[in-house]
Amino acid sequence: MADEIHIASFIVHHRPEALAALEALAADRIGLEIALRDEGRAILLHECGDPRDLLDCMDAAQAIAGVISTNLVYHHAEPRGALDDLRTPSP
Amino acid sequence: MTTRRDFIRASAVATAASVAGIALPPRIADAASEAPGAGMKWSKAPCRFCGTGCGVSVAVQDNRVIATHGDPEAEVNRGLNCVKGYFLSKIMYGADRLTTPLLRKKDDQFSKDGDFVPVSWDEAFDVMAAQFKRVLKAKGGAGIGMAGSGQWTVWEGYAANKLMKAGFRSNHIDPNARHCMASAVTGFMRTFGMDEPMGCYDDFEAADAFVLWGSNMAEMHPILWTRVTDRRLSNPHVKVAVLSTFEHRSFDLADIPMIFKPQTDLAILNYIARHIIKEGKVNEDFVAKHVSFKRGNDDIGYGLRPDNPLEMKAKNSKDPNGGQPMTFDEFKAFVEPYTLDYAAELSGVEKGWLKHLADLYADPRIKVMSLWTMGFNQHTRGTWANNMVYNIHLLTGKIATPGNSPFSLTGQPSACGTAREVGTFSHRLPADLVVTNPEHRRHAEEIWKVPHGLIVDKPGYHIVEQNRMLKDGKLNAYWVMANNNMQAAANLNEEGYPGYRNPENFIVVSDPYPTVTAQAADLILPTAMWVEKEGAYGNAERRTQFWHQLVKAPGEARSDLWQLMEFSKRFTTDECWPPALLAANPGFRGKTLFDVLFRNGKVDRFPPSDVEAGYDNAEARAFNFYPQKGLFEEYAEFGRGHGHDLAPFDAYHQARGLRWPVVNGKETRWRYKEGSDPYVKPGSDWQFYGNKDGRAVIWALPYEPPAESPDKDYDLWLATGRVLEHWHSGSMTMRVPELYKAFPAAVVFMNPDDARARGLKRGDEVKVISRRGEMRSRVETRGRNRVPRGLVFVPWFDAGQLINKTTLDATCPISKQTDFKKCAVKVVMA
Repeated sequence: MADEIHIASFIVHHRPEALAALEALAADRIGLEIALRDEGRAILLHECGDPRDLLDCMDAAQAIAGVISTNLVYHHAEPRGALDDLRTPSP
Repeated sequence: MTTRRDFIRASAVATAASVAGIALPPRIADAASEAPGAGMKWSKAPCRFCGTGCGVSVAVQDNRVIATHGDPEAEVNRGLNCVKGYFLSKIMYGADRLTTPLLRKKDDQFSKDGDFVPVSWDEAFDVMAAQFKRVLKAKGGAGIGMAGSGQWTVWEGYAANKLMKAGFRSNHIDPNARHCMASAVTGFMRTFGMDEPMGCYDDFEAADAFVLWGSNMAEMHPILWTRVTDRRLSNPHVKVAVLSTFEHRSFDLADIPMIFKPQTDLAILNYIARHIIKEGKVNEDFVAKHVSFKRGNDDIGYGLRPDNPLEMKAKNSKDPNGGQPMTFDEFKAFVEPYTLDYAAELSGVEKGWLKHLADLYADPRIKVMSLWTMGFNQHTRGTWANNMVYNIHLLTGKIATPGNSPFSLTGQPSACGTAREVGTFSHRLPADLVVTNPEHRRHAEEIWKVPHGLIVDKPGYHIVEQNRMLKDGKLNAYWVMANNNMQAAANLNEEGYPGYRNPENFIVVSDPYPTVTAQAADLILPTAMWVEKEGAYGNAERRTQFWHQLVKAPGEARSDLWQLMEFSKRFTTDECWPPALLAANPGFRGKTLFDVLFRNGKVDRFPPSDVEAGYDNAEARAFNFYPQKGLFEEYAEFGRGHGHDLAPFDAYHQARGLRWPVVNGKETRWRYKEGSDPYVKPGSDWQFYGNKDGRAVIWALPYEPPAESPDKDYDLWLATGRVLEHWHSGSMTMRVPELYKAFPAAVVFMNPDDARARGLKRGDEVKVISRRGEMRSRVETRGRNRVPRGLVFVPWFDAGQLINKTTLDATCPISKQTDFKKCAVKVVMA
């Protein structure tokens, strides 16, 4: 649906020398960021309006030399309006 | 104050961090700690696709699956999902989902050349029963056949096996798993006397070296590949060797990359055995106590029709499985010709890499996990290749301990659980029993509570032979369930299609979608899939996993189990069993097959109220008993106390799967090893108890050439296979828009130099032509698969490009599994 927002995270396993290219990819793609990383692994967070953008990002990450695998972990989709609701803080 | 967006973003990161084992900064942990939204019910299920057996959490709202996530509590995948698993929720909702039976009709009557018309289940089963009875009258069960599946649930396969082998007295039932796992089965049976791996996925975290024999795990088993990747990247001493006939994504992680010429894996395996012996690295104590040696029959043919010249000139085509005992010294002499020079010359692999690989196996300090799937199994010497990889693990004693693991991966979700363990092959009964053994038949008849002498004593037609027998008019009533064999089987032009359309034959296909196979049928039955029914699958590491029915099937779609049981009501024993047998057992006279197979006091002994509260069960409602539980408990009688022990039914609805044998509530991770396998006799250290003498067999087997090789007329090797985005014939994944768009059509992966030499460039439309047929496609010279000169690779998921028009139906003569990796083609501009 056109008014949906998709939020997803995926884990990238990579050789250390691939990190710079991954950072460049995140800088280049709207909605993509490296949320966490340690040696050889990075968690990428992606937000977009079309799930195909997510697959494109995963493909682009996979295509980087030194990236061994990319795997989706979390995906959520819902109407754009509901996402901006304020939450009541938990006690 | 945070927004819902902040919460979801934090949850996405937190979930991934927990899966990867990365420490979470407090700000994200705090943001993610609030409870998620309500309205969805989450339940567990195994994934519908490959044999890895990942656990998924399935969210249901208003009778619809709306989301799936990797299940963080599942040991197999620990919260990860591959791209196919991620889109699982969409496979049930393709626009062309079948919701009513469809029968070919003309003038309101069934007609083989009619068009498909919607009919009721009553009319569908009336016509189908009349056709089956016509054949029963003329030929008995010998004219009835069934093509089943490694995608059947355990109880569907078990019910089908009973209906065919006991009900119709026909052993012509065989699963599509024949195309993917049969060579693994015969490999296990010949070496260990017992099917399925001794190790388990825990080996991934214990091994020092991984050797991929033809497998492209990065695309076909991506979650297990993540475990290999984790192990390799976090432990610098770990090595990964990747062997294939072309370069693919798994080569990204390879320390030892090897491209070998098709079929020469056999020579490489014998070279490694020779190297281990020459270097003095045989584990002599292990070999003396736990191994015996046999020389296998050679020159065994190629499983083609008996009048094929290749079969007529083969010395042992009538006894491919035979062999004679030999000594270690004789084995040593047997492998002596497989020198480094010879292996390098045959395979085309550089000597340095070959030696490096052989040293991984030979060095006693290195724990090695060998992994394979279709590269070994779809091979005219597939059984041999399986035997030969066990040879090198047995020579070194690197087996059945953590990290030392020859491991056969599987392609279907229940190739192990249903096709193999339930014994839906044409020669098998449950728990490794076989129809040719009188004791085994008697035991099965007792458990099934049917008369002695009922089960036929000869193996039935295997799935490749079934197509040939349909064409020859010997098999006339045929039911295809949970597979797409018209697209999947080799040589469809000469065997498959003429068989289905033979006017003497009535073909029924049960499927959720109008596949190529369904469209070649006379009657299509709409089928419930995955979580539209209660199910059980068994994965590659002997793990049995259950799920509940979570949604209702659409329209008139019904599960395979319902179809099998309901259809059995339309036949009496008098119509199916010989008069002499009934005269000797008059108590069975006049009963329906439903009465004797499913109303036998065992299958029907659990009431519908046993179904876990909060879950529907369409079959329990229809039959007024809990058939899944009754069938499972009857089936489990075969294996309990015999090394195949299954836990009680209800335990599986609680656990994330259990690996058999489950003894005293405890699963078994490494079989055949004292301390981890309760069946091993104390003091014996290792015991290969599938064989009477407790020893595993090392088989002396030679290199032999393939059935067909490129020549001047057909100058390229053709290998077929899969891609990440699509599963097998694409009948489910091609209906997920995102996966379809990611890889919409098959292509011919070709070396740029080969393309140039033929005046072709990337994107050109071409014809792939063999001696059997041709297919149009487009050339791809870049991308994920980089093939060497002389070979093309074509994926087979695309129903619009049927590559099996060109393939050869040559099989391993022992396993009867087709070699889809080697035949000769030419590629020309279309």
